[in-house]
Amino acid sequence: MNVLIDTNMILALIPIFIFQLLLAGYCIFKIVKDGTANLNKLAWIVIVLFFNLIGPIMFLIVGRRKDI
Amino acid sequence: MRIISVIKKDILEGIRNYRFLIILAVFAFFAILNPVMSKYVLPELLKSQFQGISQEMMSAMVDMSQTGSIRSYLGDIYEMGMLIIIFVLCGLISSELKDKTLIMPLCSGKSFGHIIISKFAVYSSVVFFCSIFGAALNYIYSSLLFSSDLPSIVPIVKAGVLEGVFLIFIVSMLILIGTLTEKPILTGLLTLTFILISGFLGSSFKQQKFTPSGLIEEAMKLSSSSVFNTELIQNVAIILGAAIIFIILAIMRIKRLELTNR
Repeated sequence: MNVLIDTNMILALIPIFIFQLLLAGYCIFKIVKDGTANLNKLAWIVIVLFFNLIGPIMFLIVGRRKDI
Repeated sequence: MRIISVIKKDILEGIRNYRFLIILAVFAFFAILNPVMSKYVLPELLKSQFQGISQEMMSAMVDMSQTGSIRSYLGDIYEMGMLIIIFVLCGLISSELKDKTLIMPLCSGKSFGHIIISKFAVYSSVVFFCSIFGAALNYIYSSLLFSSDLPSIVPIVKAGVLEGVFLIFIVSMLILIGTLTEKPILTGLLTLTFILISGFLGSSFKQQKFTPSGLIEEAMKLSSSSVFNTELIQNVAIILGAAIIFIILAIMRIKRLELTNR
């Protein structure tokens, strides 16, 4: 079986991982603290965690509660 | 200096709506992701798809160099980045018209011209500087992963500036179409359709110098030799001229709208 992931690739992916973690972490903090719009909290947490970049952006545009 | 207060309001609004954060995140994400994709992920995918593929064959299929990685970043911003930016900024003026919130600055003595010019100035500056920042970040990160094959940073700055001008045109278009349709999603779809059709027509009739996508094509050449090339200056002047005309038309249109009707 081919080894698709090597150490260099993991090192190169660290900035993307940190970036994604910060963005998702901030969105999850907002979801838990302020609540959500259009979908429930759990659905938004799943979207934010499993859709790279698009998930947090979707939450910030349409999922954020704007009445607070 | 009433326009300064409108600009301050738009900056605060951009921070509060996370528009600035999203735009910055889009550029940073693609700037960091593309070098990794070009260096590690794509070659591994090709190896797993085509067993026993030679290195020469792989190099012919994917440009695994710093230049190739930067071109791929510019292409991603033109496709995915533009799409996200359009849908983040589509409500720039149309959602204010739809929600009837534009009446508030008007009641506090601001003119239509100030409101439109301020939005254009704030968001144009943000997309322009984020574009240069994204290109520089991509150059730095790709320099770490690949051996540097670009003579200087000039082609990168040039590519960032051209992409910034392209995005300024998009912002002006979103403002104009927003005043015409007053519906955010429709504004986004119409802008996207116009950009894609103009790009297709420009490449079909070899008239890219008159279209916004011509700027992206020029940026992707990554050439430092033709910074003051006449055709390029002409293209930039046409696109910026069109953006200014769109803003004037948007001001004229918004003056004719009844902002309080329900």
